[in-house]
Amino acid sequence: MGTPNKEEYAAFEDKVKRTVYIDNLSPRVTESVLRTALNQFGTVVNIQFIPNYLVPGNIPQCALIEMETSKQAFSIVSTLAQFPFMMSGMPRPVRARHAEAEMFDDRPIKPGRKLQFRWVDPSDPDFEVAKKLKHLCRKHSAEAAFMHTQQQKKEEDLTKQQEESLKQNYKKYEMIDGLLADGTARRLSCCYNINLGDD
Amino acid sequence: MGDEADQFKWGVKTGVGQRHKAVIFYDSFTYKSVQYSLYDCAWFYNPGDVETNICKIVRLFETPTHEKKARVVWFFRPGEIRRFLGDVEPKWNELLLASGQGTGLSNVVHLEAVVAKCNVICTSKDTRNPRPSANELQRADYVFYRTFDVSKNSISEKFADEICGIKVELFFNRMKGQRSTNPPSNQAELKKPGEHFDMFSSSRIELNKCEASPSRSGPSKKMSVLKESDKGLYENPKLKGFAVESGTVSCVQVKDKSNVRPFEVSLTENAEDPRPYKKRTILLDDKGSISQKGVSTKRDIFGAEACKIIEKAGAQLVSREGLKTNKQVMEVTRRPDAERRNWFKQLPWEVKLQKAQEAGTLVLLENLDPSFASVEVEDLVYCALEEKVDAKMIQYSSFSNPLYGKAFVIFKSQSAAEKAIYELNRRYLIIADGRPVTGRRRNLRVPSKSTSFPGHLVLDKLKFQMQCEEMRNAVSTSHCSQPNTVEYDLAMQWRELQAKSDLWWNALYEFLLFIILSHADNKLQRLFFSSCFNLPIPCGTPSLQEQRKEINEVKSRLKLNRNALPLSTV
Repeated sequence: MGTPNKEEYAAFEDKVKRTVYIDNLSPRVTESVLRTALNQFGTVVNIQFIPNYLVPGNIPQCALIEMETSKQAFSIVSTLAQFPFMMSGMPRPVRARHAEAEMFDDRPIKPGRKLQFRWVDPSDPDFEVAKKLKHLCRKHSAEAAFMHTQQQKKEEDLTKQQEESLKQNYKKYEMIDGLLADGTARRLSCCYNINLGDD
Repeated sequence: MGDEADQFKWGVKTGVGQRHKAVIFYDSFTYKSVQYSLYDCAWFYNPGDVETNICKIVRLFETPTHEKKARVVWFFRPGEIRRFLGDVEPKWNELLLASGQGTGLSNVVHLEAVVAKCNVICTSKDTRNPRPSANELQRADYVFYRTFDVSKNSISEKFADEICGIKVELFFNRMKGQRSTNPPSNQAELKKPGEHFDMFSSSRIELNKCEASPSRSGPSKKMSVLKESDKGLYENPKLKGFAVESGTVSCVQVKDKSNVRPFEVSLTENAEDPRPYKKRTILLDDKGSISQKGVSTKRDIFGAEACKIIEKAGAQLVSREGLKTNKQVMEVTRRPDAERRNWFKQLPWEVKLQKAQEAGTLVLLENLDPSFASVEVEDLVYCALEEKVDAKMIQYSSFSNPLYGKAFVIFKSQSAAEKAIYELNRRYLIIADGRPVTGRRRNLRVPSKSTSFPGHLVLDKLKFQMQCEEMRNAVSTSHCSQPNTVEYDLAMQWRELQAKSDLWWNALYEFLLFIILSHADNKLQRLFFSSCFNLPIPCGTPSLQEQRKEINEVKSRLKLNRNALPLSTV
């Protein structure tokens, strides 16, 4: 058990170092989109989307991208931190950070760890404490779920607000376009004696 | 495929089909360097099934199209016929032999589906059944002494004379010393095809083994000759082990030198005794039990002994003992079939999850140590709840709480899942770091149908345009945005929101952690994090200051500071 286990874990840790975690991905992003997007930073070895089984709603995807070297992984993280990186849509940028061991579902057992457990019966003095902790666990997951809905609401609010401002912006540009097209701009420039052409 | 062809070898041809001459029957085959003979028991696996199936091979043949097949008679696990069990309480390692007529009795299977040999011992008191020895029982993977009639759905202790057209004797244990009277000069004859070939081979093993026993003095020449001629056949140590297991000599296993002597006696008798098999078998067994001090010579007591051994074997599972003594802290051991788990190509996990949800066998375990590996969860469930399950940790992502690990567990049956949930609610399963594991059913998320994604804006007019022209051969639209665009400004707003979200999640988790630790007025709880993160276990009630320190330490270990991104651009 000893050495092959350790070797396996070392290999796994190396893989973790080479892997980048990307979130805020649109559900429309596919493996090939990711691959073409990130191939500019190096060779993409493997892509795995982290499935979401529990959190409801229209939430972004997360993915693990294994690169060939940890240097490439590092360059992705730093570049995506510097520039907002758009993938399959605008303007919400994706985020990248280094992967962690807990993100892999096929992670090997940490070598040298021994698991222990015991049953606590209702007669046990620890029973009450365990009950409290269990209750806390439930409560905390409910709290986290609430936080998720709040966050989603915030995101939707921001989307709406941006949609509005984008529409306004677009209208403005369209107006300018229209004015240029129908000659109003030219007439006005003559009127105010401004040279349009050079600008 | 070439590999597979190399790994497979037929044994001796025994004949051709009566109707179709192109069907060739064999007496044995070797697959992945394990030899399987007729009337051996084996595990077969059907891809997509939850469990392997155990069966007895009753025919081996190759079809005209060179498909390698076997007719097998099934053994039922008690769980498989749960509905018909009634008040029958099966032993933990008990199987039921299929009998009667109809579907479920036997099938023709592909030999490539074979997994491994299985040691199934018959403990029936039927007079036709040679009684197994204590040693055999201990080594048995499973025992059976009842049949399940597939047409009447009834369980019986009686064995019909024929099952699936095969003499019932062939389903019972193999006779001890059978055919060992054959002089070695009969070697050619031995190779001759025959139904008893495999029985015969097991008895040869027996002789082989005794040859190897150190205290054996004055061996009969016949045997040594026999051994030599057989050497080649049994070079494979694995096979040898198997064969000896299914072979029948109890005394061979006796390690004590002094005990080996009676065995020799019986063996010589064996070889020269002209009495009928059955009688001789009993004689042999009696001798054997006499030789083993402490084992009663009486048959029925011997049977009781066998039962005890079965029970003892059951208790060998760590968990058993643990269930009785609740205060005890137990160590999770590897599941005995740990290395067997990777034998088959599994269905994709998502498909399995969906299926399990439909079948009601899906349970979500919460409050696990987040650093558990999936395999460890499987082991834990096996040791604590005595269920073999498929488990997978839920991968940590932006949506998971770093304080609590979760795992989806797929049980074998709905009742097993219900039992586990009940058990986890009735009392608490505390893992080493003091967390009580909770189990409940959770439905899988239904993927949302909406195609829009919050944060991705599309101008209505442009949408139409893009669909018409470029969208069809558009590749990927990933790019870094430049600071002189509208898009960049909007993106910055998103960055701000993302950074804020990091902050509020951190705040939440810190708060939750504080709550957990503020309950830490008890050793159990302080264990919660100390052992998990290798902190020193604090003694006595920690002061607020200590708690703060502890929180910070735990936080740094949990990597709660999610702001891995340099926020300079925000």
